[in-house]
Amino acid sequence: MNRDCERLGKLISDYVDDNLGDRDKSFVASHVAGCESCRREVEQTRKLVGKLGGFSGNQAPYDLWSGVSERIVAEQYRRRGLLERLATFAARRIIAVPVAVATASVIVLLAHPGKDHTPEAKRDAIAESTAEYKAYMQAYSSFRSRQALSDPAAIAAAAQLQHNNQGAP
Amino acid sequence: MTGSSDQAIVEQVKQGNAEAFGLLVRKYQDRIYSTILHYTNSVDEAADLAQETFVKAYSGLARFNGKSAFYTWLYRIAVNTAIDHLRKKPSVRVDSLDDDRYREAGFEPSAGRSSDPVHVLANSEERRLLGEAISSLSEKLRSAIILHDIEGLSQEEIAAVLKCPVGTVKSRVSRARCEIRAMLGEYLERM
Repeated sequence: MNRDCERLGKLISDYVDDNLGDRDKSFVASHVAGCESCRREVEQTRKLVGKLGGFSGNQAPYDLWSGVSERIVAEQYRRRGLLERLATFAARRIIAVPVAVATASVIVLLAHPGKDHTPEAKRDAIAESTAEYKAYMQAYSSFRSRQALSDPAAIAAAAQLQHNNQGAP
Repeated sequence: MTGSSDQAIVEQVKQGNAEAFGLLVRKYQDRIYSTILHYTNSVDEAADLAQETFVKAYSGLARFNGKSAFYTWLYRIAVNTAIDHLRKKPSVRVDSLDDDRYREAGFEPSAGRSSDPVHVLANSEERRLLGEAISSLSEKLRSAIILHDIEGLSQEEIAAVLKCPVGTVKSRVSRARCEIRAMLGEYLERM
């Protein structure tokens, strides 16, 4: 294959489609006139394109549109069904959330009742707090006594006081 | 293919006139079916995929902005649908060309020779061989040659369908022809 044959190989397709400019067209025409191999390639390409063109014109089944319209309707129903399911789900959520919140509130109130404001309850609360206060004061006094007995300054002061008392008439 | 009238129908469909879509289906069903048939080599699959193509087009019509012609948009859906279908199949059997295809493909022997069984058989064999050769091409080359040499779309239209430059289309058509010629060289001599 010489350089002209190589060049022609790139032009065959456009030559057969009549898409070449005058210069390339005349090159192909003059080359194939003297090159049996390239002439055969051009002829084969022409035949091929002609045969492929004869492949067109297939007719679709007569009921294609009815099938398409059925599928479109089915698709619309499917989408509508999906939307309805979504809407139902959303509606359920809208109802369910407040119900759940209310239920939880009731449970919390039952488990942790608020303060009892009856007079009896107040009295009991005061009595309870008084007893607690007394117990606290006793514990505090005992603590202060123990603290005083362990404090060297307090011990010295107590000894001085006792000595003074003994020396007194 | 009249793009302006298609656009008018598309607008009608968008406004809720679903029946108007039937006009577009009837207008393009043969071309779409025919194109898909050259990918699948099966009339049943082609019919099913052609329906799927139109359903997809209807569903996606809101996204069709009219920047390209309706039919190039439709061809694109058809090509993608056919290719997706072939990719999902475990293997593409090029020997699955059934006789239905040749019976229903609109094959008409030339006048005066229709009763010649030898001629009918030769034509059937011719179509089978060409179909097998096309099936053996890569997806890109196959799409280019189906749309260009069989369906007769221009290189500019194919560029719009395949969303690639015109130069790429030209190159793919040339390579596809070259590959088929290499496969059927001797047979093409005898055609």
